[in-house]
Amino acid sequence: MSRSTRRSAFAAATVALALALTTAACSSSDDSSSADATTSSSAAGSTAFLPQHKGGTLKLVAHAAAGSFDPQVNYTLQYWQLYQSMYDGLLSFKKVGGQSSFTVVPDLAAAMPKVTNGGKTYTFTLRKGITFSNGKALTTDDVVASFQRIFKVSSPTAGTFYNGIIGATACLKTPASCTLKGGVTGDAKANTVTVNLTAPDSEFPYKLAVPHASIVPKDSPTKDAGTKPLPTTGPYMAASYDPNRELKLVRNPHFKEWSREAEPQGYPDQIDYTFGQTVESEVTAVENGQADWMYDPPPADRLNEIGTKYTSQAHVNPLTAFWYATLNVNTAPFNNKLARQAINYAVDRSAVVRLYGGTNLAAPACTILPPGFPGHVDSCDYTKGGGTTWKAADLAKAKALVKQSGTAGQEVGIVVQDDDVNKSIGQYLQSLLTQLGYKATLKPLSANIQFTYIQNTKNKVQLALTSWYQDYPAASDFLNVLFSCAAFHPGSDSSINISGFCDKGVDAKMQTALKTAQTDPTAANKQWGAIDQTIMQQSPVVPLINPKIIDFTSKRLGNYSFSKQFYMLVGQTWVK
Amino acid sequence: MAIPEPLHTGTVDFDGRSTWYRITGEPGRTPLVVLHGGPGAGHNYTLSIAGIAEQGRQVVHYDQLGTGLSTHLPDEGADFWTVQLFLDELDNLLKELGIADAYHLLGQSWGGMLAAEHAVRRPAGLRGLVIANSPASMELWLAAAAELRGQLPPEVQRTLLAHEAAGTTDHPDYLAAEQVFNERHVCRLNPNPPEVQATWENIAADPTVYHTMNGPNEFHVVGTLKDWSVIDRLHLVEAPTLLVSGRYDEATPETLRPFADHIPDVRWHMFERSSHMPHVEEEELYLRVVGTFLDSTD
Repeated sequence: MSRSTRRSAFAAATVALALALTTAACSSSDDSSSADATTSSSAAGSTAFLPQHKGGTLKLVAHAAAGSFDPQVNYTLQYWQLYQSMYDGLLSFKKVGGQSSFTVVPDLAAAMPKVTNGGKTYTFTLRKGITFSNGKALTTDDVVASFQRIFKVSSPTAGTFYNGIIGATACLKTPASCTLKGGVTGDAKANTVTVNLTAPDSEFPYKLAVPHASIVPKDSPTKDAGTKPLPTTGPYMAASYDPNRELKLVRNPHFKEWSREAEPQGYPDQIDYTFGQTVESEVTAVENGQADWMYDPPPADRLNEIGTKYTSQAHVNPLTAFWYATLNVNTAPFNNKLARQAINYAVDRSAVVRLYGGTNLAAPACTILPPGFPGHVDSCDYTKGGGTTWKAADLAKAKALVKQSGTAGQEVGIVVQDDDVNKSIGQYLQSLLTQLGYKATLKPLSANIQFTYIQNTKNKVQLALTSWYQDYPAASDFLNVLFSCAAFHPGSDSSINISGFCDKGVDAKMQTALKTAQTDPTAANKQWGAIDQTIMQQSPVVPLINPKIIDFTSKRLGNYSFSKQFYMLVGQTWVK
Repeated sequence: MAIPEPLHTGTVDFDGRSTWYRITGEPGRTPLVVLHGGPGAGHNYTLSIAGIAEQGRQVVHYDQLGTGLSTHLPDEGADFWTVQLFLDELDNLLKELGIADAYHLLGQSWGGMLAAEHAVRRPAGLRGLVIANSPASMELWLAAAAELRGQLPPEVQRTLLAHEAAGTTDHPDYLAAEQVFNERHVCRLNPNPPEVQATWENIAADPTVYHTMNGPNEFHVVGTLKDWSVIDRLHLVEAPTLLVSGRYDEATPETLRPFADHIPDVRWHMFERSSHMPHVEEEELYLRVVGTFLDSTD
């Protein structure tokens, strides 16, 4: 469940993107799949600040606000994108475009932590001279209180990201009295904070770099701050927030740039984020220069004009995410490996790309790890003739496998979300299964119910269409989270291993890779790449597409850059 | 949105008793018949669904026997108020209105249970079925009510228990505690819209059907429906079916799940900002979702 809020924000965003973007004229900052790929966007943040572009009001629009503005509570991309220029953690993702945006750098910490005790103890030295937007100086007490607050406000990732901190178990049990005793301690004199884990966690730096680990003043309310934004340390702070109307960000008068790559100073003096517009009026506002950027994806019937008349203002970027079909390995017919492999051979990824909106909005997927993601290796076992990239489906092979499996004639229920895009992909899968000799039925459920429904084994879901968007750039965020035995919880609404895939051999390999990552991330990524291919041989899922996103910006907006982690770097855009 | 005025209202004869109905909109596409809940709540609180008429189809509301503007029979007992009685009344209404050959049904709460009972009989004219905020069995309903009641503030739970033990469930404190539940899980609009209020007044004025078939309130089903279930017959439903529920609904996902599992052609929409009455809590979206579904099954 914890990921679904963020996940659904993405999913909702992609829905309207779908259908035909008929032109290929949009500018693109597509990465290649290689890890050192660069984008066509400028690498903002790493370059010097250009004072001539400082000033002005950046105007953002969205159909709706994203709820609570508490950085330790909110789990939507919409606000995580803003928090990058507002809140800071001990660590953060580098504020640049391209592959380097996956790099974790010290933020409120003066340097990367000293890791001791076999990977279980992290010691951070705080930077000096950092002041919250309310004028109070940042202290080690604020850091300790912020870690406790993660649990006190029941942050959505408290139990998944931060449960390895000593004392977290008690905090999860009784949040109100959370002390993280022995887990997080501050030494005001030495200006250090020490975090002790119950076990080494090579991904802990990533978890510290997302907004749920933001450092806020120690006297912040120990409940969701809701519409009363908390003081910030970054270049912007909220001046007002009305979810029905507008969010106003202004400069934090106490901000002084301490690390260009962690928290660069922003260009606009003010950022106005207006809510409540229709998506159509958002497009018009950007076209007319009344708004500089729209959060929601442009509707299908406006894509042509955007792609022809406003080419330089449309930015297409691939997302490290995949849409996939789950095959229930514990229920007929997909408890038969041959039947599962047949589906993987049968699905034409190019057809799914078309249903999603065309090649400007998605690319065929063959692997679990998306291109450009750590560990990804180009490989395409199920395309006609094999190879490393998608070519075509192999229906003949699929039919032969179905015959060999002896599963033809069986009933298969397909559970999809009830929006047009998901339904159309579901209908395609239904017709394909029928062609293969199954009796397929389609069950569209609204997005807010489908995600939990397909996770619960009680519902005996055989085939479901779903998607996964990264939380942070580690291969385990896909492979371990989605396919480990520990991620399979029969009878629960939050069994994210929807296929029910549990292979002891694969599990052992994942444990090894997690361990390797503590000392040798490159070697670990090689191991993850091999694990991806091993799982694909078992075929518990059918990777379908890797989605892309379109940012539509005004003519005056400059210095567009796209972080793979948090998308357009709002504070780095200029309007002067 | 204002509730549209009816094109006309009338009554049909049902075995010497009368069933009151109201039709909104001009004749056009396949009409929609709305079955109210309770049982015994009356049509009033579902009137916003008449907004569907603007999409080019007539919407028929009616008061089930013993309720609202239909014949009241306060002296009839449990053997009279049966599921079969209301199925017969619905068949009679469809026949008398001349729409038995082609119609959609939308049943809310108990109305959805009744609509499911109707649908498993595979009536030839049923084009589309909407089961809104309804449990598939009373066992599931009771389990959900118990669970939701367990989440009420401790002092509210204590009040409920104390008065139930003392047999003083008509005490103002008990009613106030019950109201806490209703505001969370029955209708989150405060105050309730007038048409919803009218339904509460209906039940208060003549609680015969509600008390006989349901019980004294939403979490004490001791009436004749206590052991009701349609789960083992749901596979028989042939009509395309839309399930509707609210995030905070007393009809929790668990109570609706058998409909999703066993009806062959089914889809499910959950309204994020609603409890038991998304038709008033999220009226605009509701009319769009239901209207789109009906369009697909005409």
